[in-house]
Amino acid sequence: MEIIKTPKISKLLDLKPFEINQKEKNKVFKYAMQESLKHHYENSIEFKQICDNKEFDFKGNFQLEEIPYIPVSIFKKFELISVPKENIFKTIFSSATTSKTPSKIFLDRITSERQTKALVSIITDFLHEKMNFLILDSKETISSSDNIKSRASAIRGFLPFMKSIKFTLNDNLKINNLELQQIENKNKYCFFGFTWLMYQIIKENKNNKEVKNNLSKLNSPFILHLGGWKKLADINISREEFYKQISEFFNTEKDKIIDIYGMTEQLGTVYPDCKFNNKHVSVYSDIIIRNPLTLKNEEIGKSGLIQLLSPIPHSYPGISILSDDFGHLEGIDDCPCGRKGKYFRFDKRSESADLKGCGDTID
Amino acid sequence: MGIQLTRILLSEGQIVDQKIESIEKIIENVNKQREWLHSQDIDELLEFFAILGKYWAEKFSKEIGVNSKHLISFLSKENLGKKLDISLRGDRSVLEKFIDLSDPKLVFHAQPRGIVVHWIAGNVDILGVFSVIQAIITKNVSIIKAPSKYELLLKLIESIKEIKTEKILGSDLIKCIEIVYVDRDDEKNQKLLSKNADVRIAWGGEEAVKSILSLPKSPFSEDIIYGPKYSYVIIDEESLSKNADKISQRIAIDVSMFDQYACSSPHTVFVESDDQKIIESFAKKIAKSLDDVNRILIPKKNTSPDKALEILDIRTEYGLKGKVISSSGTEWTVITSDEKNLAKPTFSRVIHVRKLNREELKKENSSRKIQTIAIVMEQEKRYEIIDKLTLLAGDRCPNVGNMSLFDSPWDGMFGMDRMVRWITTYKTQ
Repeated sequence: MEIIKTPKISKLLDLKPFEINQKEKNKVFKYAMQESLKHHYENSIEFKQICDNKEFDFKGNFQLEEIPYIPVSIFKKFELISVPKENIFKTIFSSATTSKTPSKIFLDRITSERQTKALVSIITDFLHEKMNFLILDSKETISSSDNIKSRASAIRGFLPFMKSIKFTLNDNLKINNLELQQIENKNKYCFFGFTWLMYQIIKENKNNKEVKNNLSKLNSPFILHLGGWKKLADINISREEFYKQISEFFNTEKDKIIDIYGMTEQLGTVYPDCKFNNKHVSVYSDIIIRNPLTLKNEEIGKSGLIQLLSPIPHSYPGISILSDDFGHLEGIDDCPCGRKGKYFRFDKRSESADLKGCGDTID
Repeated sequence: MGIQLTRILLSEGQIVDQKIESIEKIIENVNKQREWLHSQDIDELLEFFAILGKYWAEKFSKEIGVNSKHLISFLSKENLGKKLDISLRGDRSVLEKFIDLSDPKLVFHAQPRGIVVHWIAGNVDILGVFSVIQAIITKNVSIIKAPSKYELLLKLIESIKEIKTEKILGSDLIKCIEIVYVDRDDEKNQKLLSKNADVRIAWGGEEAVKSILSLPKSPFSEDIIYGPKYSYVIIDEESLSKNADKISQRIAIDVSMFDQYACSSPHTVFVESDDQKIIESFAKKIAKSLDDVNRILIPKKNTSPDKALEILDIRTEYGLKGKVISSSGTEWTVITSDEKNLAKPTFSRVIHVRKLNREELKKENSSRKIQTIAIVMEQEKRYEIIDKLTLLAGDRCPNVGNMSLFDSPWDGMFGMDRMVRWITTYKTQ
C-alpha cells in the first residue's frame, strides 16, 4: 500500500472532537486543509481547474472562506477522483431525494479509515458506550457490495458502537415483531434509522398492540436518526410533532433523541444534535454559512447555504462542498452543553427553483 | 407563502380585497359594461391609452424601469392605432361600422368577442398588461386572474381611473376590468372563469398553460397562448468586428429585462465564427455590459436562494467543461463552452455564448417553443437566414436590445384580430 504522509491531517484526527475553541482550532484545521488542498490540486484535474478558475493559491496565506467550493450536484454530474482508480475499493451512492440522480463518491482505504476515526470520536462524545443496536432497516440494505447506498454506508459506519445488532424490518421495510420480542429490559438499547423511515414505521404501527407491548419493555433507549427532513416537511410534520411521536412510540425521553446531520459527500464528519437541539461542528470539519445572493459569510443567526469543509476526503476532492441545505450558525464556543466550536441549526433543504414566467419551458 | 384564498382584488373600479366563495358576481359586473364599451369611439379610446401610457411611465417609472419608454411609444395613438389597423385588415373603424374591404359583394364589421380572461404570469406582469389593453381597444371587457405577486398590476389598473379624455372618464372605463386572485386549487372558480371566457389568454410557463388549457371552456371561445417559449440571438463575425461593444450592451439589456423569465428573453447567443478567441472576447464584453446594466440600468431585485444554488451549480459545471465569467455574487453569469445546441435555460441572468453551427441549429429550431430570434448581420443575409429558420419555428426577429419589447403581432399572432368576430352583410339588398 502506498504510504501517504499527511502529518497535519493525522494530528487533527488525534484531537478530541469538541475540546478546543474555535480560535485554536482555526490554526490546526487550516494546516490540515492546506495539506489536503495540495493533494487534490495535484491529483484531481477538476479540482485544479476549479481552484485555477477562482485564482485560488493553496500555498499562499489564505482564509478558509476563500477555499473554492464544489456544489454537491457536481458529484452527480462528474466522477471526481483524486487517486489512481485501482485504489478505489468502495463507491457510495447518495439517496437522491431531491433529484433522481445520486451522487457517486469513490472511497479508498485512507479516506475510509479517516472517516471511521472521525465518526467514532464524534459519536463517542454523545453515546459514551457501546449499546445494543436495533436498526430500523432490513438486513438486505447492507448486503455486501462494492457499490453501496448511503443508507448501508451509514449503518456500517456505526458498527463500532454496536454491542449487538438486530435489523427490525423485513425486506419489504415492514416491522418484524419477532425481532422486537427479543428485547430485554435489562439491556441498553439504541434505535438507529433514517428519519423518513422511522416516521413511516411509527405511523404504521402506533396502534399495533403487539409492537407497542414489545417496545414497552424498553427503558429510555437512545434514538439516532439521520437523513433529510424533506419528506416530513412535505407533509407538514414538525420536529416537535415528530419527537413527540418518537418519545411515545419508543418509550423514551426527548433528550435521548439525536438527529445526526451529515452528507454522503463527506461521510464521517457528522453533526449530531446536543440536548439543546444544536448541531455541533467537530474539530475535523468546519462550516461556513453563505449568503445565497452575495455568497459572502453570514453572521450568527442569519440563514444561508451550508458550506462544509473537511480535510478528510483523500480519494475524491470533496474537501469543500456547498450543500443544497440552508442553515444558520447559533453560536461559537458557548453552547450550554459545553462543547467547543461552532454550532448551528438546519433550516431547510433547497427545492427546485420556482419558475413562473412565460419563458418557462419544460423539456 | 401561505395558502391564498380566492378573492376579488378590484371590482367596479374599486380596490376591495375581499374573500369570495364564487366569482359569479364579477362576471355579472363586466357583462354589464359590454354595451357601454361598445358605444365608445375608437379614436377616443386610443387617445385615452396614449395618455395612460405617459401617466404610467411617469408615475411608475421605478417599477416599470426600462420598459417605461417603450410603454409610451407602444401606447401612442399613432402606434397603437396603426397596430390596430394592421390587425383589423387595414381599418380600425371596422370596429364601429361596416367597411368595404374590396370584396365584390360583402362589407365587414368587427364585433368584440365579449369577456376576455387573462391569466397573467407573475414575473412578466407588464407584458400581461398589454393583452388587457388590446382587449379593451377591441371593445372587450376583461377579467384578470392575477398572479400571486400582483401589487404592480393592481396599481397600474387602479390608476386608470385617474385618466380622462374629453369623452371618456377613467372611472367609467375601469369598470370594464375586474381583477381576481383565484387559488390554483379552487377548481370551482377556475372552471367558472374558463367557462365564461369568450377569449382565454394565458401568459405563463408550461405548467400554468397546461393547467389553463385543461379547464372546460365554451366551444366558441378563442385561446391565445403566450408562452412557454424560448429565445436566442445570432451574430456574425462581421457585425462583431464593427460593433461588438454596442451589441454586447444590447444583449445585456435583453438578458436583464425580466431577469430572463420572459418568453422573449435570450438564453443562448450564437456567434458565427470559427475563431474561439473572438467568441471568448465577445463573452467578456457581454459580461462587462451585464455588470454595467446591473449597476446602472436594471439592478437585479432579488434571486431566490434556490435559484442562487442552481446558478452556482451551473457555474461550477461549466467551470469544468468551459469558461465562466460571473459577478462576485449571483447577479449575472456568462458561460462559453464547446456545446453547440440551445442552452438549457437557467434564467436569472445566465447567458451562454456558443459557436453557431447552422445545421445543428436547424435541427433544434423546429419546435414551436422558439419565439424570438434576434439576428445581427448585414440586412440581406439577415432576411435570408430569417426565412430559412422561421420555416419551422420562431415568430419574432427584432433587433438586439428590443427582444422583450411587446409588439403586435406577438407569438406569431395578431392578438387583436383574435379578439373580434367578423360580421358580414351584403353591399346590396
